[in-house]
Formats: sequence, C-alpha cells, structure tokens
Amino acid sequence: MSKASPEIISTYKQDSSALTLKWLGKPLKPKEDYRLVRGRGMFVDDVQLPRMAYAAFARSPYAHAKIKGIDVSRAASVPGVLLIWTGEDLKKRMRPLPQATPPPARNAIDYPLAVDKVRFQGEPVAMVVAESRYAAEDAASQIDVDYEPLPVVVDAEKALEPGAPLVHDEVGTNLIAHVHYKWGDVDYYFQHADMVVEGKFHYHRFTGAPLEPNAVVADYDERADIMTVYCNNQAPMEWLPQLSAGLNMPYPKVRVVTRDIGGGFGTKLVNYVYMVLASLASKELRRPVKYVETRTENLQAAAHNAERTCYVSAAVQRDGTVLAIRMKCLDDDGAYARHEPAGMTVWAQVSTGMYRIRALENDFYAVFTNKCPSTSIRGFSRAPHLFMIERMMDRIARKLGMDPAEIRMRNLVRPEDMPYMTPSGGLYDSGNWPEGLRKALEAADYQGWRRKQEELRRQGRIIGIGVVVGSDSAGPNMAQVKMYNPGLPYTSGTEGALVQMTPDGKVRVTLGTSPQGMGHETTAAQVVADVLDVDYDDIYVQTGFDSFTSVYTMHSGTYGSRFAPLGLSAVYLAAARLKEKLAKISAYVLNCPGGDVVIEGGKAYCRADPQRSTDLKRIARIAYGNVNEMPPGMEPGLYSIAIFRPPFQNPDENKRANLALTYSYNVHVVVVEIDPETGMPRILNYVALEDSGRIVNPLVVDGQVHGAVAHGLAEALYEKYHYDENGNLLNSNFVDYLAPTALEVPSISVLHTETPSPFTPTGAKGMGEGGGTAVQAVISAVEDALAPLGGELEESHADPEVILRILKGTSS
Amino acid sequence: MRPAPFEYYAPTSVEDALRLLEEKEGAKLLAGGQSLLALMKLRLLAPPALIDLNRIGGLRYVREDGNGWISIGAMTLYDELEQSPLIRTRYPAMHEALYRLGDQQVRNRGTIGGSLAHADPSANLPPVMVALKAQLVAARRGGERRTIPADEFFLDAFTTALEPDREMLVEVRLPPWPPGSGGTYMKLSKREIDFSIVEVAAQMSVDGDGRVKESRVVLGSVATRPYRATAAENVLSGSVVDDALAAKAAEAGTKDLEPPSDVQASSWYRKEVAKVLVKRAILRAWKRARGVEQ
Amino acid sequence: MPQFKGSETVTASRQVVWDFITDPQKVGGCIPDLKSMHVIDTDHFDAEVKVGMGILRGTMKVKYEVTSKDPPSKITMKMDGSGLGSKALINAAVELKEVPQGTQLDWVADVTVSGTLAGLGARYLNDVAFKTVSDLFSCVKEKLAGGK
Repeated sequence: MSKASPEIISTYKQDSSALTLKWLGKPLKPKEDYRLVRGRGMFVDDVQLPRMAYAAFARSPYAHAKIKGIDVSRAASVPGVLLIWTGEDLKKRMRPLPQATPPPARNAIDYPLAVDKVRFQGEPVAMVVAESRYAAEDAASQIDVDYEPLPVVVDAEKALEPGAPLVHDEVGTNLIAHVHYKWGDVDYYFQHADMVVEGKFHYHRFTGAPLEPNAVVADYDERADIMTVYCNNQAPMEWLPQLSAGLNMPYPKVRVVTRDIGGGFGTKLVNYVYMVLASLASKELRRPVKYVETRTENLQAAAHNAERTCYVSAAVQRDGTVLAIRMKCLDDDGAYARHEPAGMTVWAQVSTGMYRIRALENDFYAVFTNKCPSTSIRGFSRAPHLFMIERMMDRIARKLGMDPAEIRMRNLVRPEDMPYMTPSGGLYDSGNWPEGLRKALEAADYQGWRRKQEELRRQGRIIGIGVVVGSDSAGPNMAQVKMYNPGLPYTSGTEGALVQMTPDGKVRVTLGTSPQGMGHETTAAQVVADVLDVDYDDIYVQTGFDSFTSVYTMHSGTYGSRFAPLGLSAVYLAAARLKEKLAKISAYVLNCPGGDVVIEGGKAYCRADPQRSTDLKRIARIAYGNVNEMPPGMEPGLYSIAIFRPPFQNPDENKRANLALTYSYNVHVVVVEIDPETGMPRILNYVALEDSGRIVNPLVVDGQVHGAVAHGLAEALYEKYHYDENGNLLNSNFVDYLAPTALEVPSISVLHTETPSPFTPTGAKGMGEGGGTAVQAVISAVEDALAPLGGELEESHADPEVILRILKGTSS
Repeated sequence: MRPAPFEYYAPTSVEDALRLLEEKEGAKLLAGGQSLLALMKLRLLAPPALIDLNRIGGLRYVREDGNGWISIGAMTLYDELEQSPLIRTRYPAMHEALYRLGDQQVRNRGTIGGSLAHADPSANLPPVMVALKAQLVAARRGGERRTIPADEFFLDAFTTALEPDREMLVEVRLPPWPPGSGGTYMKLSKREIDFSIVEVAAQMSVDGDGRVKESRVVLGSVATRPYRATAAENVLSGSVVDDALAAKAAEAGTKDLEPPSDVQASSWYRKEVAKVLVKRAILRAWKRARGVEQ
Repeated sequence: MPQFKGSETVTASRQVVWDFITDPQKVGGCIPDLKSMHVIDTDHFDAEVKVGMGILRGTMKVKYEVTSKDPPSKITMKMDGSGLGSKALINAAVELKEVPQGTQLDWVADVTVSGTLAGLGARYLNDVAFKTVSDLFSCVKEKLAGGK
C-alpha cells in the first residue's frame, strides 16, 4: 500500500537495450488478417484426413440424476457406427481426470463421460464414433439411458446449507475450497472509520461464445506410433500430461497442434476432455477421429463464467477516502472443478482495485452446483472482483453526495507511488492513473453530459453516466494456485520462443502460445523486426503451437493476457541473443576494428568504417554452410531459443505475492439513455481510455479494446444464462442466448496513454481482457440513471425488465 | 446439429407438391427453411420427407391487380418484399415488419408463405397480415383454391386453418386501404435480429377531420396467435387521436392480455410494454393516415 | 411449471368412471395423438405419443404407471416421457365424487420437463402441457357421456 521498495523494483526491472524502436508502435498490417478475411484460416474443422471418423455425444437432459442403465443396442445397429463408449467403458481405459482441489473436494471423480450419475444438463453420457457425422448423431440420439432424477442444487448459498443435495457424494460436501484472506489491519480501520457502507452483489453467469466451438482431430499413426492431436485448446501444454498418461505414450510421441483458433475467451482451456476422448478412440480404431461441438453443446456444456456473490462492506472517511474493504464471496463453479477453483485466488491480482485501499479481508468459498463447470472467461475472477469494488465506489459516492469521478480521483493510486505495492503484495508496475481519468472525462465531455443529464431529466428523459477505472492484470504468477492448495507443484509463469535466421536470411519464429485471434504473429514479428532491425515482411511466425516444433514450458499457452508481458519477452530475449551472434559473426567476417559492428536495416557494418558492410543473408549462409568463415570455435547455425522467467515469488504465509507481471489500466466513460416506458437502455456515448504500456501495434490494441468493450457490453445488457430450479438451461442457442451483433455495439472512442512497463523488456503490458471494465461502466451508468429513484442494481446484468420494475417501483 | 434422415422431393408444380404432401405421410413443405431446418437440426422435428417448393415456378411475385389489390406469391422472399416500392408506399407497416425481420441472411432466404404457414406466435408478419385484412389463398389438388381471411387463418401456436396434408399456401392478397390511411409496425426486442418480446401492427383510415373511420390494432408474441386489440379499436372509432386517447385505447386494448413468460421477458413485462407499444403505434399510424408523418 | 388443475362432470356413475380410468386400454385410448401402446399389466403400459402443437410435433415414448389406487374414488399415476432430447414427467392425481349429474372428476397434474424442450419450448410448454392433460380428461368425459 505504498511505493514498492527499491530492492523489489530492481529484481523486476528489465533490460530493454536491444530495442531500436523502429518497428514497435507502428500500425503494420496484421500478418494473420489476410488469410482470415479471405476465409483461408486453418481451423480444426479444416483438417481432413483419409479414413477420418466422426464423434457425437449423447448428453444428459437432467441436471442431476442417477444412471441406472444405458442401452446402446439401438444405436449400435445404426449403419456406419464404429464405436460406442459409455462412462463404464472409459473407466477401463483411463484414470479419472486429476483434481487440483484440496481435500475433500479432491475425492471428486471426474471422467469425460459421466459414470454412475450425471451432474449437469448437457454432460456427455456416451460417445459414438461413426463413418459420418450424420450416422454418429443418428446413433447418439438412439442411446437409451435409464435415469433416476435426483434433487438439484443450482444456488451456491443453498448448496452449502446442511441437507443440500450433494453434487459429488464421495466429497461429502458441496464446498470445493475455502480460503480466508486478510491483508492489513482491517479490524482497526473498521473500528475507526467515519462510516461503513455495505452492499451485496451478484456477478452473473455467461460465457465467451467463440465463433468456433471446441473441436479436435486425433490422428493415431500406427507405424510411427505417434498420436497427433489437432485441437483448439488455449494451453495444450497444460493438458499434455493428462493426454500422455491417458494414452500411455511419452511426450515425444504425443504431438499437440493448434493452428488458427476462432476465439477462445477462456472457454477453450477446458476442452481437453474432448482431446482425451478423441485420442483414445483414434488409438482404439486406428483411424483419425474428429469431433466438432454444435453451438447448443458449446453454450450448454463447454464452459461458463463462475457466478460470484459477494457481501461487501467498506470502511470510509467522510472525505471519501476508502480505508478498508471486507467481503465474503461465493463462487458457483458448477458441477466439476476442471479449471476452478482458480477463480478464488486470481482476483487477488487486483485485490484493492486501482485504489490506495489500506486493508482488505475476503472470506472466500468455491462451491459445486448442478450447472455447467465454470472456467476462466475473459476478465477471469478479476472482472467480478473489480465489479464489487467499482459498485461500492458508486454507492459510497452517493452516500457522501460526491461525484463518482471525484471519489475515484481521490482514492486512485498516485503516479508518484509507482511502482505501487498493494496490501496483498501486488506490484503495480507503472502508469498515471489520475491523468488517465482526467483525460477520459475530458474526452467524454463528462461535465457537459452531467449538465445535459439535468436538463433532459426535466424533459422526462432518463440519462445515466458511468465512470469506471479498471485494471488488466496480465501475465499471471501461476503460484497463485498455492493459495487454495499449497501442495500444487506449479510456480512462476514462463514462456518460450524460438527465433531462427534461416540460411536465406529470413527469420522464422515459433511461439509457445496458442493465439485465438490476438495477433501474435504480427506483434511477435514486430518485436523481432525491431530488435534485429530487419524488414517485417522477412519475418515468418509459425501459426499456432506445435509441441514437436515450438519451444514450450508447462505454463505455455494463451490465457491471462500473458502474451505481451511473457510471450513477447521471450521473443525479445531470443531475438536479442540472435542479434549478438549475428554481430559477432559479422564483426569477424568484416574484420571490424575492435569487433565493433552495427546491425541495421538488414545489414551489418563496422561502426568505425560504415563502408565495410554486408547484408545479413551472407552472414546466414556462412553460419549454416560456409562455416569455416565463422569465428573459430563458434557453434554454427542461427538458432536462438529463450525462455522468459519473471522474478515471481510464491505467496508467503499470509498469501501475499505479486500475482501478475504487468497492470494495464483503462477508464471507461459511458452515457446511457433509458426508455422510461420500456426500461430499454441505449448507449449514447462510449469513451474507452487504455494504457497498455508500450503499444506494439495500435491496430491490434484497438481491436482488443473494441472486443473487450463489446464483450462487456454483451454481459451487462445481453448475455446471461438462465437456469430453472430443475437445472434446465433455458437458453442454449443463439436465439435465446443473446450474443450481440454489430447492430448492438455502439461506436467506441478509443484513447491511449502510453506508459511503458519497466518490468518487461519491450515495455508492453498485457491487455485485452478489459478487466471487465465495460460491464462495470454500463451497470454504473444504468444505476446512475436510476439513482434519483433510489434504484440500485445488485447484478452485473441489467435487464430492461429489472430496470422497468425500478422505474415503476414494483418488485418482481 | 445434423437432422435425422429424411427423403427429399423437389416438385416443379403446385399440383405435384400437393400430391406428394398427400402421399407422403408426415411430409413437410420446405420454403425458405429459416425455421424448419433449424428445428430439424435440433431434432425437435424429424419429418420423414421434405417437399422443397423452391423449384416451383410462378410463386415469386408482387403485383398490383386492377382493383387495387396487391397479390404476393407465397415463395416471395422477405428481401424482395422489403425492397418492393409497392409494399413500402402502400403498406408501411408491412415494410417495417420486413425491415426488422431477422438479419439480411434470413431475409435472403425466408419467404412470406413459409412464415405465415409456420405461424410462429412471435413472427413479424402474422399480426401485420391481420391488421391489413389480408386474404390468404390456399391451394388444393385439381387447381382448387380457397381464400381464408387472415383473421381466421391463425388458429393457435404453429397451427393454421390450412388443412394438414391437403392444402398449401400459394398467395397473399392485400386489399386497398382508402386514401387517408396509414399504418406502422413496432417491435420491442433486445437485439435487433431477435423475435419480438412484443410487437404491434396498427393500421387505420381517417376522415378529413382526422376521425378514425376504421382501425386494426394487432399484437404478436403476447398470445398463441395474433391478438386483435378490438377494445383499442373501439376506443379509437370515430375519434381524433391524441396522446390521451392513444393511451386510453392502449390501456383498453391490452387489459385482458395474459402473455406468456420466457427467458427474455415475464408475462408482466410483456403486458407493460404491450401497452406502451400499442400507444406509440396508434399515434404513429394516425399521423401517417393524416399525412403528417412518414 | 405451475400445477395444472381441472374438473369434469361426467354423466356416468362413479363405478363406471372408476372402471374406465383404471383400464389401461381405455386410458390409453384417451391419450391425445397416441401412436401405439403396449399394455404390461393393469397398472402399467408403454406408449408412443405425438406431442407438441400445430406443425411442431414429435414422438415421445411414455411409460405409464399407476402409483396408488383407493377404489373407487382416488387414483394417482405417473407418466414418464422421453424423446426430442428431453424428458417429461407428469404426476397426476384424480379424485372421483358422486354428484347429482353423475360423477365429478377432479384432476391435478404436476409437470416437469427437462432437456431441450425445457429451454426452447419454454414459452409454449405450459399451453402444451395443460392441453395434453386436459384433453385426456375431457376425452374420458366424452366417452362416458350417458353411461350409468
């Protein structure tokens, strides 16, 4: 809760001397877009292999039921059926999926196909593989399952009550994990504060709804004894151990490949269940097996955002200073902990939000319910947490009669305190947040809108203005999982890259990440071009990830906004090392005085005598072929591999740690108008200010801002899952699950400030999750509109009906 | 998302289509397929046979008849109707309903006949047809034709007066409304492309003083068939419309509604906004009839 | 889903009504859009039924079971349907009272739907469920009209 010590700062500080700043920051044409806009992307469903077979699933109509029997005889007689597996069949072929949870939740038994009972609607019960997708679906629809419906629990708080139906009988409770966090002297502040403000909030259930659903092609090559798994998993290396164990094949025999991925938004971290199933089936049948989810399957059973309910209180001074926050939160993680309960610790990256809050306490529970398992949807865990904090800021402002922008200004971390250490040990790297707020308010004509709001109100029009600040903490410290399970052997957050100058003088790059449309090929090429000072067009970045050719660690993947802080840092290091080698060879070849050579514009020349120069192509040929021209003893070749390792520590005994490498920030100012008769909100003005450190490519950054705003807007106004009391998901297609279209997304004014991070060599920070800022901004604006009527919103989703009830003063 | 197996027929005449419909038990007619194929892919419908009407010539047209009626072929695409100057100028309510129907992809494939025969209680066109006093022409084998007033066509959700397995819709006929007429269609939905939460079609004719001679106010999405708000029409009859009268008509016209609830809106909300939409639609239809608003 | 209720006055004696509603063949004959049925014993039968509304109709397999009998006035039954990627469970109770015109048949039914239909069909489910159950009992009334 103060400026970080010089010792800590020095461990984090990165050397960025290899940058030339000739290529960074330019709006270069994204390398991926040309193929994507022409429909020439390479997605999993584009993989067509000889003798390929197709999988389909029979899924549970019940949210909770005992499986008394499964009759596959009708299905087996469908022509073209090759294989039908139930949970029992799977049990003979693999061990249950590993559980990251502490005991007793660790006792939960999780198979990719339900065994003994089903725990959420849409859970796969049987898999059919057939000659065609049609035959597979025909057969799947003829699998007769005898179910005995069981009582259902769909509410996290009710799930913890005594006598609640148990989602996992062998666990004996619906509690996945409980962690109590206490940082700073919370009790003292609550005793001495001028006032205490309270609130209860609910962050609702939604998903990422990527255009491309989960998909996999598993291809077992019997002759080579190699399993190739084409998948669209965001972090395939995280699941290679499971695949390897399930197939009883060592890592060098299991090749996982991603290519273009049609959006992930976190939903594609947990599709390994299909990777396992397709691989096992491919090995059994000795044929390639493809599975592509349907939209209904994706919305119903792929991955949801964990719902979060928090009871929050804040210790506040009369001048608006927020001293401390105390909360009790419950995450509804659904039926299985496949990625969760990570959400119960990840919020701590941004524990006290953007503010100089001195102390924080959180009593956190993660809970099983009979709903789709949750995972890390964009803004994972931090967005819900910042939602709680920002909602409180608005409430406190109203209590004190302060302007919501003013109270934020008063509490924001000041630039002179950067890098700033939060009470939970978070290390906010850089930025001038008050200046960002001022700029955004000015760009949005905040004061003008406030005046207009008054005028229009007199005419019966209802206008609301939301002002919200948020943080995109990025590049996670994976040791955060130790806060709920200290035994997990998982620490730091690393990433790898290979930069090779090929014998023709071009540059080949492979990444450890699995991009889903974030422009990694573009930004990686820009960093390499910048460091080597070679032409952007001469750099070829391999699309996607390939465990046989990419450089990886067990953290590798694309999640947690980690590419800019970690991935690009590895690219920088690999390029910088390659540049050093090129310099050494060039200096020797050119015989530069003192070995002092300059690499510039694809050429090398002696600093003392620029006439003595060569293009790098010649150096490349020497390094691979004419090796006797190289400096004696130097290893031939121009391969450069780097693994970037941030100086992350494990959480201490008080669960204090810096949990992310960079902290982008954003300020959103949004003006909404509400139809007083229908409650329908409409966006009149949207300003998003973003500081993501050094901008590598403004087109990519703006695209990410647009996407994050659209996604947040969707969550706040359009997308919400509805479960009934029997655990039926009532909206599992795009007719009823309202993903917005271009017609719903308003025009967004994007502004930038640019404060390079001192903690990454490129100065770039991770961004693109938006910290859920758009959700908070829209809800804040709607609430601002309703505030004169005493209306307050509890949820992160503002349905017109909820708004109209407030306008009419009727409860539901 | 693959349909169950089905036989496929592509007749080239109405007569052949009707023969197949009679012969193939449980067969369904395929027009634009914008509802039918989605339901088949979800396997909520598994007809043993589809009879594709797209190869039948002579069912795609919009033309004005001598007597002022407009005739529309059942296989005419939404997009073609939306682009039709005849529809836009003569029946602005219908133009608006088409403009706000699904998205461009749907409008490029969906047909007026398909939509009306499907009789989805939330579809845009059924209330408009009732408001405009459309006549729907059903064909039977042997060249037999039967005309059904729109009022009597929609019986229940997904249920029409077409005789199952024997009749198909071939034409929609719209009567002329006298000079001094106007209409509008309004829809409330969260996304533009959605089925409505509530929709209203209003059509009226007024005399030289602006007194309502005849009006039709019809709601969709609030019942299992288009709901004619006759109580609202009665309030308007013979009066000059102003805000207060429109509100009164809306109140009367929606008083007896018992709309369904679903994930998009509760019955309460549908009823509340039905009142609002009816009021707004009456005002705009009247202004158009008076020629004071486009 | 709400509980559905209805009442029919049948112009037949209570014993006649009782005999009718405890005869699986006769009850089966009153199920709207019955495609086929297979009687197992007096208290159980399997049937294939077309359910839905208008052109939206699909086949469900229904297991019928009498869950309690209190002759000649009370019977409860369970109809367990599956199909269309969904499950429908109807628990119904029927009570027979002697009235001057014959017999009053009061019924209540709890309907639970799970699966695809619960989501996609939500808006129309109440109508369909009510219509299906009430058609069944009005059929009983019609078939027994005038019986003693």
